[in-house]
Amino acid sequence: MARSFRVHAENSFIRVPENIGSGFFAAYNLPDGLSVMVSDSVFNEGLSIRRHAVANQQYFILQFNEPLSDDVINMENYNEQHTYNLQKNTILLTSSLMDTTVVRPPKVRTRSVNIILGIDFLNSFIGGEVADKFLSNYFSLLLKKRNPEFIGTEYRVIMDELIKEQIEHPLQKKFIYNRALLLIEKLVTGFLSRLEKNSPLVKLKDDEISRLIKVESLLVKDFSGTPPTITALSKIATMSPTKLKKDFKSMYGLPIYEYYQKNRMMRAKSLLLSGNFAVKEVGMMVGYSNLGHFAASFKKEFGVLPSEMVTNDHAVGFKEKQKTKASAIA
Amino acid sequence: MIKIDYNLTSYEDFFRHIAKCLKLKISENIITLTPDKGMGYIKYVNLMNGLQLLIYDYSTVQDIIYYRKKSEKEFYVLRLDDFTDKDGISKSSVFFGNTAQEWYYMAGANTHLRQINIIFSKKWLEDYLSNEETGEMLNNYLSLKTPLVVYELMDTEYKRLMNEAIQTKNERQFESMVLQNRTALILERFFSRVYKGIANENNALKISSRELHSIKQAETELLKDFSHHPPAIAQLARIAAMSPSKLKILFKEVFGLPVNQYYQKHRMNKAKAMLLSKKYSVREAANELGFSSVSSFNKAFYKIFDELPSEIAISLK
Repeated sequence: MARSFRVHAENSFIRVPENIGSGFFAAYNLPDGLSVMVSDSVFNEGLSIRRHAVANQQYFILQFNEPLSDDVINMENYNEQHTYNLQKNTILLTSSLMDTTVVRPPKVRTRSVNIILGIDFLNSFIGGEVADKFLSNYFSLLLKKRNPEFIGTEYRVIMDELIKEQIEHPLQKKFIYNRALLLIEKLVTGFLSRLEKNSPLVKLKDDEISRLIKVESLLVKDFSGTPPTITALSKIATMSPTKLKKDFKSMYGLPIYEYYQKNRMMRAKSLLLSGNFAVKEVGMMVGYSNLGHFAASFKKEFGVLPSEMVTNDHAVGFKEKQKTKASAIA
Repeated sequence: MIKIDYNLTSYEDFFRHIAKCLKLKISENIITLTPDKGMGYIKYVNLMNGLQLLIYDYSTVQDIIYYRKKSEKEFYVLRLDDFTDKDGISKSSVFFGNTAQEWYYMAGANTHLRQINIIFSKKWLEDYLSNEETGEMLNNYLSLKTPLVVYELMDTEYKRLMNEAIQTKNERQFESMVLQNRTALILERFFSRVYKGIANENNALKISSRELHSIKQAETELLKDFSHHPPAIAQLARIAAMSPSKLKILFKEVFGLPVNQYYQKHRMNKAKAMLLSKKYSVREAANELGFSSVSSFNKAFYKIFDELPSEIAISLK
């Protein structure tokens, strides 16, 4: 990959050269044959990544892509078999047994997490029976050009933790490995439980889905102002407010404003944990002018006050207590 | 009261042992409590990455004491507890210990206990930490501080992970995957906090492995026999082949307490264990442990445990 950008890869880290775009790619090799690549980048021109099928080894490539743009750019050749547009297939699982081409539109900043894992590992991790059920249903939907899964809050939180130029954590490898498995868990459980509930999603048209993705990205883009009204959103989605509300909930699992609020609090939490901001600043950043309200909503979501969240993570309750035994028995 | 003694380092064996002690049957790795014993279950899980788990979610009609005896094999146990008594007051904590140590805890009658126990060998932990940059430091720290016991209050993040792991509404088909991930996150959290703890201890431990070995010899000598006066610092210093002042400093560094406090702590732990075993009266225990009178024993005991030896004896009846 570094070679096609004509740059030098250093410690599995690539900075995209200025003549073709900006941003970075970072790759990690992990235990159990897992490997993860994260990226936050923009390319001046469209990018098409083609993976050639390998016959002797089956592994899976799981991609999570979040394009930060409101407009869905229609790409040509999207209709070819095994060619996927990252703007529509924000979560995409493909197999090494098939040739696949993934296209990225030009000038759209995209944050992504890619995970490569072997089939044996997948089978033992999620259990053979579940794996079969998941894979067969997933690929049959994908072949029908349906979009099986979307990036919502839970995925985004994990992605945020991974998409960094430098991941600073005492157990960095474990941290990445655990987050990668968590993404797989969410995908498998989310997809299968929706499938078993006879997913209303199947009834949505592809076009409607991409409009809803647009609504979602608009909703969670900025928390500092008042959120867009349902009417405004329904105009963007070009559907009636009633339909918007119903379809949004079926896709993302929560009513629009609850979803907004949840994401807002998640953002607040990650800002607080970054350690760069005071509680007051974070409150302002997520659009609260009244700190009391902020604290109350935060507590409602996480069960602790923002201030407790900050102090908690620093306090390393680490003591060899004299009374260990005594307090355990009390 | 039911007392469960064990020193097993395989949870599979321990699980069977519990079933035997409670006189209950195991079905598909689950012990379900019958109404005469209480309510709830104990579950054994073997994860694909070599970890063994015991998950408790029950309340019993009788007190249960779990008493872990020293084991030859060195395994580590990480345990998350959440006790809710009948008034709805709950206490939750994180415990970490080494099976070369003994410990016990009691789940009182009518207390709802939710618990996740994770057991892994020393070797497993070495592998776990092996490809991390901080791994060597953590490994060194753990062997230096052995027996390291950590006991802290559970924070919201641990609670969330524990709830997600125990939640019964989890569909069975996803159970092992979800459990594996939650366990991994619990371990990640625990060890990264240990690491932060070390980083916070500004005085980096400067001690050679030879000195460490000597200090450990001195410690063994110190705890060898409680029935007589403890060896004098000068004598320990001779055993460790270092000056008394150096011994005092290093001892505290390694074991976290000054020599005599450390001795006293272990002496009193032994006292409590003797009383709990029901084989000794208060007077016998005091004699055995070299106290000149029962009242000085009482005083020393109270200082450590905030209760009198007689209160322990009563609670056992």
